[in-house]
Amino acid sequence: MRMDPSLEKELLNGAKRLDPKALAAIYDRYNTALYAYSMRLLGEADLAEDCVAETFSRFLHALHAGKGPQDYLQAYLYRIAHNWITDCYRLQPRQSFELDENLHTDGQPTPSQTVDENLQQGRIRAALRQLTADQRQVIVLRFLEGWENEEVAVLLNKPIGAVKALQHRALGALRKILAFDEMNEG
Amino acid sequence: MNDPTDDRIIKSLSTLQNIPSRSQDAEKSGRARFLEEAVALRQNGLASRQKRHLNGRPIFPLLFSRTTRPIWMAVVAVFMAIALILGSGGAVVYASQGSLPGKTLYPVKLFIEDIRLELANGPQSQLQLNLEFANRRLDEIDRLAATGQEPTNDVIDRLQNELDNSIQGTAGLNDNDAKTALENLRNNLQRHTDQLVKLESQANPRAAAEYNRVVEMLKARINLADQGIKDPQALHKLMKQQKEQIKEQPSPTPQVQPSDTAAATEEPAATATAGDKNQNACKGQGEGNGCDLSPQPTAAPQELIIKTPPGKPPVKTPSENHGNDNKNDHGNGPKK
Repeated sequence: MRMDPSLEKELLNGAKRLDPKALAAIYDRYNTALYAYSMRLLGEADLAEDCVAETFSRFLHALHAGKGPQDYLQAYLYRIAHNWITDCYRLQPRQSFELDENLHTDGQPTPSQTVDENLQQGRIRAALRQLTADQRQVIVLRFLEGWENEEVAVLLNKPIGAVKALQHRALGALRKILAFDEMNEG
Repeated sequence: MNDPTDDRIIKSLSTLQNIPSRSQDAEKSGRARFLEEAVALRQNGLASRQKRHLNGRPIFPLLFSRTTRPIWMAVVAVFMAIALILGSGGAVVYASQGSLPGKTLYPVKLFIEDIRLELANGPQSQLQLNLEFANRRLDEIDRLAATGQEPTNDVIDRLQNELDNSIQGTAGLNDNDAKTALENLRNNLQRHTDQLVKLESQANPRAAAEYNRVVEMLKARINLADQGIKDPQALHKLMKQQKEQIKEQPSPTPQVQPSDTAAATEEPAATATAGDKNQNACKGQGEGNGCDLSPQPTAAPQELIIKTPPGKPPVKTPSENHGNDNKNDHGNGPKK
């Protein structure tokens, strides 16, 4: 998952000088994954693009101000994206998930499959939104992005044990939320 | 994780793995915007770093150092208090800082600069302020040029004066600091010169002539800075001699020596009529501006330094006013 530390160091050194080549390399490496991450949580292409743009913009401004990461660039970028999404949740009223005519996958599913999948995605997103920010981040990174506990621990700046505990509590909360949803539907 | 309910939840989460394909256009434009922003920040960073660390020294610690004379601190304090009390006056001062020549608030900006120069404590502070203000003039000229406007005579004259005072001001530094200051100045001037040369090729003839005038003036200062970088001592010695000459002059109005007038009257060939008055100083040396600036460690700088104390506005001789004799002509440039 994580870039080779020496390459990362080299890119970060270039990025601190606002070297276009280094910045382009960083963008090319992470923008797709960040888009997917934000798309999974937000469910809207425009918002996901905004999230990616804002993430890289904040990264640039941090570098310009002499701040920015010393290492663990990936964790740093995901943290910015995560904060942006959390702010976005706060600003937007919680909505019931709706079918989006633009939502379709590459596999060209049938309309009924699309409807089912969209319903299911909306339900999961709504459930994730009810978790705390840290819980949501652990769940998404661990089970959707495939990160290891150690990587999540770096991002959250917490010990691995704390990450495991968060994950446990998050799954417990999801269990309740999803069961609650199912009961409501029933 | 062995809990079957957890497995069900994790399986449910996996439905979010499938996301719609991303728009290639959005991805490309996002990348382009990011890189554009990086370039803009980089340029902004270089400019602001140059302003903050002129000559490698931050401005504010020097302005407010412990060696600052109490009387000046009191004056500054009173001035700041008045600005605060007046409130709106402070806002005007603030608003004026971004104004361009020809705008209502521009004179306020220049007035504040003059006050800052008056209050500057020692030659080093004056040097830094002159460099800062010269940078401002260059930025103003670039901004005017970017919108197709010509720089006014007042702006060019002021820039010339600030640059000359800056070069003079390096005499108060040790060799290393002087070299660094001159290198910074030289690089900055070269950057603006390159930009103006580009604009000159695209501008209308009248604007092109004005840009050319600025370019020639900047080239002359680049030349002088180069000489100072090579041999700061020679430059320092010359400055010292000139300072002594100024002291010896009885008149309260500093006189400009013939050789100095040549520098003060750097004009394009089109205005050579006035420059003819200084033909002894510039004879056979014309390179578009009437004076040869080729490296001559001792003689050449002498032709460029204006005899005005650092940080003070220049006192114009009739020859300096050529192309500007008509007071109504301000802002319109010399008639070609």
